[in-house]
Amino acid sequence: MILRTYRAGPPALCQGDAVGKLVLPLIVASVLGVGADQSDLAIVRQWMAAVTAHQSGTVDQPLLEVADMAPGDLDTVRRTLGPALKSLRNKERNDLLRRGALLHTDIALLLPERAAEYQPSPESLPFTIDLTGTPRILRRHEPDALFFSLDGEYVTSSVESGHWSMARLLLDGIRPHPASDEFVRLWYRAVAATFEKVYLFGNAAYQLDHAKEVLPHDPMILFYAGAMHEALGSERFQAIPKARPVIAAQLRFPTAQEQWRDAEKLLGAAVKAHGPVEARVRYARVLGRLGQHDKALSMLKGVAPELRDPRLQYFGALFLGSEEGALGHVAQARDAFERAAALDPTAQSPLLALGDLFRRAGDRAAALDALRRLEALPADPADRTDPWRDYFRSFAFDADDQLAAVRAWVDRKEQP
Amino acid sequence: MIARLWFVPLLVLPCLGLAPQQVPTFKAGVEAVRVDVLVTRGGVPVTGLAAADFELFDNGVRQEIDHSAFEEIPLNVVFALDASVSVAGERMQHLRAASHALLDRLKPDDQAALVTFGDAVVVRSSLTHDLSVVRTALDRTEPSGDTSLVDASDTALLVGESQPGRALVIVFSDGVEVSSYLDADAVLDTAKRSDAVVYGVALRNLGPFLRDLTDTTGGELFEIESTRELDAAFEKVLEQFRHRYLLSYTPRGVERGGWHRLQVRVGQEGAKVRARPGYLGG
Repeated sequence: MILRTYRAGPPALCQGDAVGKLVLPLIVASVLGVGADQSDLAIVRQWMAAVTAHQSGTVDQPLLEVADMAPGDLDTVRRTLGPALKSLRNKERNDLLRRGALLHTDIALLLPERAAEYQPSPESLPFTIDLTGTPRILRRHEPDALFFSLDGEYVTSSVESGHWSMARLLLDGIRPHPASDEFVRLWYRAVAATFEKVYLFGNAAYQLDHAKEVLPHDPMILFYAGAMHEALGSERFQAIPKARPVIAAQLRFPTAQEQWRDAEKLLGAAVKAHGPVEARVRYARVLGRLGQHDKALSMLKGVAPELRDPRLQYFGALFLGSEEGALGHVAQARDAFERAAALDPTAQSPLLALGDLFRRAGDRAAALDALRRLEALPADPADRTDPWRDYFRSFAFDADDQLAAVRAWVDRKEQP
Repeated sequence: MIARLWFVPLLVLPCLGLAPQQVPTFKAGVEAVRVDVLVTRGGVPVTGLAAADFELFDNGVRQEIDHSAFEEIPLNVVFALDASVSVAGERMQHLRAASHALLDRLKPDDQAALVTFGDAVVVRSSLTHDLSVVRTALDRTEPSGDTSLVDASDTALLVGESQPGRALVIVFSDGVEVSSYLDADAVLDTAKRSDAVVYGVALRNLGPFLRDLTDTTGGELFEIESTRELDAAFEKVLEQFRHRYLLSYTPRGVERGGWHRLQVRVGQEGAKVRARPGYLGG
């Protein structure tokens, strides 16, 4: 085992007001020295030194050092850290835990192949860094399978990297309670958005399931979780169990109806908790999918004046057209689809919807007119835009900014 | 999400307002219903049948067949070809070659159109007798994006209905539906109002949509192992479609609206009949 010492990080990282990056490991090491196994102590010291020296968002030596730690050593950190932190003041303890969570986040995001090699042993899973520092038995469960697909086709499956559960474990130890910690809130939002932005909804689910336990009333967590279930009810994901029913049965893949019902519950809660205005647009769409067209229509009409983002205005108009159409209001549906088409003149979805609307209404001439407009769109798909293409991830397009904000948070002068 | 509530049929055939020079054996009629029928025995198409050889039931009520036609009606062939990113490379080469070969087999009166789809649905050529337009569009198609199978199928059906004639829609895809806006059930519902017959050629199990669409329109889904088989598959589709009978009747003794279950029989031992299972009337 190699024990490293690090020089202090760049100046920006040394501005924490109370606990210097070099001081913190010494404090913890002194705590661990009382009655601790010496080899465990060395491992935790190594981890502590790396945590305090790591510059978040970069692949630096401390990051590589922890990424290269043996799984058993990381399990030792999981088991030992809770008791070790017991005598620390909250401020010092929380700073260490936040920085530790960021380091493991960086391993998982910046070194994904190495991160995948670490799975905690079942023996180390029940430990937590709780308020008393006493290990308690957590709800144990087998890790869910992560299901990877390409263009709707099953590719492979795996389980979540242990570095993510490590990060969550560390944040669970924040005092007085993680739910009241701004960093924890920002971390869960940023990480969920990061996964959702790239369609890694399986990974997002791990984070969001835990986030809902820690922050059950957070409007953004409810929104992200609802949007995730809405996406999982879409053909992009539902096509997989349809094409591969045996695999789907083995993995107990929920149906579209089940996903929409979960989305309805979560987005409804996000709306009640005064979540983003987009929650209302998505909630209305889900209601429509569940056949509640009157309610969906009412919600879309109500939210329309509040939509400022052109992308949301487009979705609002498109979904309003579909709900009007579902209720047999042909003229109103046409007007709404035309509004969507005007908002994005090279988008195909409003024209497809118009064609479908008019065929059902028996207006062949109008349907063919919609076809002619579709035909007139640029032949090169690269010259077209349609916000619908990114509907199931566009709510998370600010994930990089969120992550940067989380990384910057630990270096603020004023920390609770 | 798209409406499922109104049943105003296109099936009742203003679209049979066929040009006299094209379809001498049919007259346009707002009450007429046409049914495209394939009769096989031992997997081989049965030819030489007349209207009197068929029994047709609309919601269980036997109907008098006004006309039957075989081969003489020009075709409107609509290609709906998957040009998503997964088709890039050799698959695209095979797809182009197979499509060119099918165009070679069309007759002078036939028309063709080309719709391609990644996540963008592109109507590259509407129905035209000038097949060079379709060929050029085919050669210019470059794969990109995800798969909008449902949106593209709906568009191809509409292209097929855009001109008088006998519409054959050939859908090829190597991937499952990923990115359409239109709802699959809604498009299947729309297909029940269409006279077009959809044949599917799929590289693998694509899930139920394409099979449901081909069944709904009386066509067939061919699954292939490799795009090297595309040429043979397309030839089989055209061969089968050319040997179909087009029956026309005016519904009697049944309500106009709602779902009409169709049964077509041929009084010959061992003969199998493939036709659409019904249509939406209004």
